[in-house]
Amino acid sequence: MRRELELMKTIENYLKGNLSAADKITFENKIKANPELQKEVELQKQLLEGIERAGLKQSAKQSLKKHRFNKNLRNWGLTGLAVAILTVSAIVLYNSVIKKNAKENAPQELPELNEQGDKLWSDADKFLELQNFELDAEKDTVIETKDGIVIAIPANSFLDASGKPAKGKIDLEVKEALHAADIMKAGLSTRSGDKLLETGGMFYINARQDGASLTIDTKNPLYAEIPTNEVKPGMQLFEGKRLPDGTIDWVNPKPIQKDLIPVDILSLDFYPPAYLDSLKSWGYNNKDKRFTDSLYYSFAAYFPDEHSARAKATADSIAAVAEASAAMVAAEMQVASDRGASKKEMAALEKKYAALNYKEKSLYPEGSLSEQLGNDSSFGVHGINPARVKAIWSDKFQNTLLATREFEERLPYIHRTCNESVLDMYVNNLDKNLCTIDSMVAQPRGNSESDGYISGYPEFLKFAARGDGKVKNGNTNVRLLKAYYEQKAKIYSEAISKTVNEFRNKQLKKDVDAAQKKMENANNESLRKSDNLMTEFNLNVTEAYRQLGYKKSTPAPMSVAAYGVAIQTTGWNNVDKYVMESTLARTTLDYTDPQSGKKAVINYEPLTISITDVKSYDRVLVYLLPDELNSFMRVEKKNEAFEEKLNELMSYKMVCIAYKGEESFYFSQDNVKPGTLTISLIKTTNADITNNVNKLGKLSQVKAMNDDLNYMAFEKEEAKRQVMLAAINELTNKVRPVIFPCMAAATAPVADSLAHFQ
Amino acid sequence: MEDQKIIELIKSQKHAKVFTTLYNYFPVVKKMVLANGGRSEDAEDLYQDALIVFYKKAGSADFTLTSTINTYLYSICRFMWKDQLKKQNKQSFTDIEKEAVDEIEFIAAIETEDQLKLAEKVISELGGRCKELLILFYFHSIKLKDIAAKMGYNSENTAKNQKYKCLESAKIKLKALQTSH
Repeated sequence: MRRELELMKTIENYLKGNLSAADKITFENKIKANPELQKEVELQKQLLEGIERAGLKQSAKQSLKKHRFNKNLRNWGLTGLAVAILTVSAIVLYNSVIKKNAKENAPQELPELNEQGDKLWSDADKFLELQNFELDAEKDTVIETKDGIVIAIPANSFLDASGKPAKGKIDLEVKEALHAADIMKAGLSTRSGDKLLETGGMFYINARQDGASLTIDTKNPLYAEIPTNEVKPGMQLFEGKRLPDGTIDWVNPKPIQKDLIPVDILSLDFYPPAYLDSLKSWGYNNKDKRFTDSLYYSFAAYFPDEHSARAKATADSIAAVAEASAAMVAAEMQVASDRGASKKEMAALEKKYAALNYKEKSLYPEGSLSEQLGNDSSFGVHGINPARVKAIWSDKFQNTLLATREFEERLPYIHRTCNESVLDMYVNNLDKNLCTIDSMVAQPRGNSESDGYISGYPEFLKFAARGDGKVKNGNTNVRLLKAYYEQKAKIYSEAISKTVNEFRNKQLKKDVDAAQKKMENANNESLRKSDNLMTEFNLNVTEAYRQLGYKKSTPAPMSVAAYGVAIQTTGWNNVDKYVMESTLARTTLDYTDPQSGKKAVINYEPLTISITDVKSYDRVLVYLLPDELNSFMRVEKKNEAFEEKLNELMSYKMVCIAYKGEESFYFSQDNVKPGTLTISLIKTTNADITNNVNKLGKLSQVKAMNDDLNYMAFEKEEAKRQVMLAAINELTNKVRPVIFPCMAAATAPVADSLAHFQ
Repeated sequence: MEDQKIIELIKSQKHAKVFTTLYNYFPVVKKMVLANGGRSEDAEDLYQDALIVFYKKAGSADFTLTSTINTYLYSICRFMWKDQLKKQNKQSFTDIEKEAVDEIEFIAAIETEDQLKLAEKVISELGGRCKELLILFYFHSIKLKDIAAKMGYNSENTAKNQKYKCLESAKIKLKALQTSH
């Protein structure tokens, strides 16, 4: 090795820290003594860092290609490509293997004959680096070039000189000039005749077997994707014609048409834009397709049967049907929660339920919710019928242009037009190129709605410019599919309306039942109360008479219908009046007869029942059953404790029943005395509660208690139902503008103008 | 990918993976460059430089991430592009993003990188094979034996000699460039 190179080696070892300690010191002394050497070291250090930088830059550049390639994989789905075009599952993904390492910037060695069998080669052929791929002609192959061109090569797509598919190993040659620098270096021009072209990149591709060029089977062509940052409209594919002066003229332009690659139609998203995201942001499980489907399709009830119902239906009934429709969803929602799919939702439901439960008197604040639902009649509907989407989002349309990512990209725009004719345009033209339909949608056409009138949506021009084609070898039964679509959309619409109607009727019937039960219960309660009052009054008045020494044994019967008894006469009635007041207010009677000076005292003394952990129960019911009454008294809760005043003339049994979720608790005590009582409830079953209640004593009391408990149970269920309807109502209102975007847009200006007035 | 995960990848020198992922933040930088008189090639070049600055900076032991990587990268790009505009005497600049990282954080790193650009240029102009050999050996730390096999040298020794020859011609060029500056 030369002296200079030896020195470089030493410097390198020094810089990399590979010298021994002694050598290092010696070398460092040398550096200090010799400014020339010091400069050499500095230079070499910079070079090493420069190399690192060059390496990083290279890595960063290659990563961009890799990034784009990954993105393409995501966007176009390479697996779909394999299934559709290649129809074989095995894909070999090659990285480019550069076989010949000819000197950079020097002409490449070229075979004698070019792909057309003559000897003409251009400068570009000479100066562009050759990428060689060795592949099996009988296998489907996908290759990616250095600059990111992806080429799909179906099996048997190359023909030999005799026109038969080539067998065995073949060599695929690729040269590419995708970037300005490469294009200039290769001396390529972007000239077509005397016109200048804007280029998206140039590439050369040829296959050889044993040195002889193969031709591509035109019935089984290759498919290439050239990486680009943006798809520019109007790009065309030119054929390169070599000219004797070494340049290339670009001739025979063909519009670039991208074959569409069908994917599993059920894996695509045909929902209105933002639908799934909105559900997610509201805390619903947007991955549960059963739920998202049934919610979305339930809105088909906005579109009742087009022939009969629409003509007859008033705005009210359309709205009512539509609103109630979401109830079906609630059922689904419950299914979802049962499976533990939405614990959060369930927790919220139960919390609401608990809140409603305690406000017993305001359980039906302004009529039932399903009545309210029915009253919202203020809108008609404008948008795409979900039943039509359901009709195409099915296996029947696999392998058509609807089952492509490209169509999926258009759907948000289709939804935003709110015009079913736009959707129909795509479904009814499955045999056309996607870009052709895009242009059709962009232009105004038709005269009336029945005619498929559309006013023209220029936003679709952007899609038209992409030149998306059709699915190769796609489903050919296009006419049959069209009929299928019409028929299914109608059937789905009717079926959904029917289901929704049934649900609505069921809810209405429940509303009526609930109202009736509520009324009966109110009647029973007032009967019970006045009955109790009368019995207690009689008891009190008899005792008062006894104490005062009055002879009258039976007091005049009081009217049960009125609590406040108007007593205008004096005499016995005077005592009766005080007794009544005291009985009503449950306060101690302390009456002195003005004539005899005798006293009548009947004591009422307070009882306070505290229940351990009372807040942990969903609801707690405390009953007192006086031996002297035929019915019971329900004890009111005040400040976390249950308070009542006990009549000293009566002896009371106390029963306490509580619920926590599905669990039941029970406690009872005989002969309760005034004072403070602290009890801990005991967990039990509903059956045991019934047993215990049945053993309480008087048959009439047992019956009354059981009636009350049954009503409480019904009320609990009813509250749950109301919560469910409220949840549905809320969800329906939230999701409606997402499903019908034009309706959201239409209501916005109203709100704006209102704000204006304020 | 989470920012912290990316930083870990940087610490373990997985540059290819890091760069591939970080191109997710490229579109807004490209927008910024296009809105300020650049072409998309300029944007790519700028972004690659910024990736390198960030990669080196984040790889250093004392580095802590004070914002999201997205904001960090954008701020580097914005600074460098403004700088470039200034050098071309073009002053006007419109911002795309409001949020930014304090420039103090990375100015020194950008200056260091700028100095290295000369050396990098020399390496890049060496010609494909020399450049490839040097990068494979010094950057990717591939063994000479494997390099010889991959690049078609007869022996490990030939590759080694070739490596020094490449380095020597680079040194001569760099020396010439530095004295002329």
